[in-house]
Amino acid sequence: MNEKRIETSMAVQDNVTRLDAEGMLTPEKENRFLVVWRRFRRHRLAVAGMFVLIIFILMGIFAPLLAPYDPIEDQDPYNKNAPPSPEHLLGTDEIGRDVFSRLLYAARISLTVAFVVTLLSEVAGALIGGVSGYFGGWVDSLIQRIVDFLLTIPLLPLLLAFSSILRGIELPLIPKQYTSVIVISFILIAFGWMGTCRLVRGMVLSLRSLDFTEAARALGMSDGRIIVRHMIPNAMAPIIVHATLGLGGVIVLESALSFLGFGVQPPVPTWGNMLQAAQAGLLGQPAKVFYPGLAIFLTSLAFNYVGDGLRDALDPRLKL
Amino acid sequence: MTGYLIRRVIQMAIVVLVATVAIYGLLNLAPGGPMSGLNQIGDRRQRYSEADKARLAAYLGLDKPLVLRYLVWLVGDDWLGADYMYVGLKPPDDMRFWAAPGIAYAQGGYPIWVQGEQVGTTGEDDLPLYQAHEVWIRPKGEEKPDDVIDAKIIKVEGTMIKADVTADVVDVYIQVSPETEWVVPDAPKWPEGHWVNVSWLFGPYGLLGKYAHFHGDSHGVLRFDFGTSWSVARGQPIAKMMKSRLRNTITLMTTSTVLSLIVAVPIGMYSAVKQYSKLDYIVTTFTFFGTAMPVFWLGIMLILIFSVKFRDWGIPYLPAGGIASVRTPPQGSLLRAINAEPGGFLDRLFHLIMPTVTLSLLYMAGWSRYMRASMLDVLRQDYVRTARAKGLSERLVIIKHAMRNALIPLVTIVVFTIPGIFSGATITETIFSWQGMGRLYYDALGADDWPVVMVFLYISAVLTVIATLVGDILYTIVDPRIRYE
Repeated sequence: MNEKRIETSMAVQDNVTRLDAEGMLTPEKENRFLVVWRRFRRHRLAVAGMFVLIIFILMGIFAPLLAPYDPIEDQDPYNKNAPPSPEHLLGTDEIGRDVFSRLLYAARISLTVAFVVTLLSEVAGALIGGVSGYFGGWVDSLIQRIVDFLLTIPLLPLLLAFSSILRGIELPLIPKQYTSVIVISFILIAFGWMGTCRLVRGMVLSLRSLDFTEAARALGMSDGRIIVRHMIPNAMAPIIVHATLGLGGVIVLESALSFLGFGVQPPVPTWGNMLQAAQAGLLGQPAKVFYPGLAIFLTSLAFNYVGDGLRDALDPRLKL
Repeated sequence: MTGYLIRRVIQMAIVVLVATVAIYGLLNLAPGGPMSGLNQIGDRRQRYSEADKARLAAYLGLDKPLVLRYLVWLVGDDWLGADYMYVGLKPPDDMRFWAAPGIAYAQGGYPIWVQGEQVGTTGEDDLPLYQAHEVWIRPKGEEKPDDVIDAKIIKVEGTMIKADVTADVVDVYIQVSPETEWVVPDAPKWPEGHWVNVSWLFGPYGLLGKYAHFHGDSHGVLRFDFGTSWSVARGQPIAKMMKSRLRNTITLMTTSTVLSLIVAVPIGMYSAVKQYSKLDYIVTTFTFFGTAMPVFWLGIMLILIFSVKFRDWGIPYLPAGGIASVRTPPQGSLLRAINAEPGGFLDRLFHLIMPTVTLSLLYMAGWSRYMRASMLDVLRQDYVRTARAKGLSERLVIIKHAMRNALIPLVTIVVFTIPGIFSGATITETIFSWQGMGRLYYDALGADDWPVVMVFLYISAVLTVIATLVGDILYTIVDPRIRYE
């Protein structure tokens, strides 16, 4: 009987401890997305930035409905470089195409490339940097030397070297005019992840010696899970800053590629190549640089605020 | 740490080596290059012939295989020509090989004289006599070519040539004294001190003789011989070209880097500590403007306002570009107003203002964002709370405890200005006609001046790996918990 009592009391105790542990591990089951959204909403400018981005994206998607003219076909040779007028809201360009329509269509490619490239290169950089910093030793040495190597390769000669090879390739299931967009995105990702990698590695080198990492390891968490659940979220602040700073750069870089005859080819409008084309007549018609520049600027600005809001919302230490 | 450093330096050397291979390969494999577009001239008569092209390729060294070219670029070709024969009347003191003029080469069609009498002619092709080669020797006076005696030169000793004449099965000794008519009148007269490559590997008749026409005077970049420029400043040593530009670039880059750091770190910290305050919003918006603006646009706008418009409005205006004035600045300019002496300190300082502001705004905007973000991160950590709980002053908590840890991302970013201090800022330098390295690189790339591009990229690569090492060392200083062992 005595034994039995001890047994039951132990069982009860066991239950209690288990309950406690569960209670500690999973506080209130709340939708993570909702939590982030609630925090994000508090940052007014971030919400405004998000609306601007959404408007731009919608404008890109519904460009065929919104644009009064065709961006490539509708040329008015008697009305080149026209100032803004009721027919042409933002005037016409150097061969008489409607600038407003071109801006709308350009949003499609520019925004897609910018978002995809930024997102993927940040993810790749964060994962590789996390692995590099967390494991240290020869893994770190190897990855960091590869990063060093890639950082020393200049982008311009590289692209020139690849251009002739990559221009001819065809990807299955993808329309021909979008092949170059995908190839460009790929190259920009392949040579764009190193900055994030170095940033995250630096953070992780410091984070891995902190107590919570020890705790996670003691609890039997796998290395991969520690990297993804603990290291990278704690290194989120510089990642987001890097992403927000890089987004505008990607749009402009894409224009540099177009200039080399490698990027999206000129008749197809992108903000980048519109900016490039307008630079020629910069002092004569500064307004032409202004519109695509403004579009890039606004996207960049909006994304910066969204990034700022996201940083605050995703902060693992912030409890609201 | 010492062991780690040694390992790192070895790894760095390997990375730089691999990088130079890749860059050299890339440059040469990329379409274009100095040999392309030569014949895009409308006038047919002005076009280059194939022989011209071959000569140009040989002059630029492009006739050799890529691997050999790379090796010569890296380690030089002076050591390849260790077996050089000196052709001259008097040999220098420390000569391994020496020949009197005319003996080093027996050119095709030249008669061979024996004891003052012509006994035969060498073959069609050029023949070096330092190697045993078959030659045609015929008795003097014979006209018919089929009476040619098949002979084989066995040995050359100074001026003594021994040939084996198979027809008569007798040895013929060909004695050539310096004053005999060994050299026919139209034979090339070697200048005194002419050098002939007789290396078994790279001599004209060596194993790799086909590719052997190296100049034999380059020491390679590893020994700090950067070669000469092809097209930007043809024939000028690259080291000399870079020296003058390097000074300009270093001035510009260090000024803007230091200025940006001094401004960005406090701004970032302040807007983190006083998050969502009015000043934070102002600074945030300002930095977002700074990062969202393309550099070339900002630069041109600055010129438009502070040089062009200011002049129109009659306000003392800033110089629009350049490093220093050449002559007395025009009436109405700021330089005239402060009475700056052309080329003097004040003059240079005022030319520096606009490029520095352009670059600094760009750096500042980014760096203060990193600082703010990581500062916000750190400020919520337990040890900062502990420091506050201990009763330390807020100032001490922020500067001593929080700031150090928040510096890690900034360190990562800022160390990469180390290669930048050498390589400059292409766009800014172009806009403000600042004669610096970035502009040089841009020009060299456009003019296919590969030696200049290669040197530029090589030094940048070295500085990049050094920058990552400096970054890694700084991590351990900023956060002593970081160890690499």
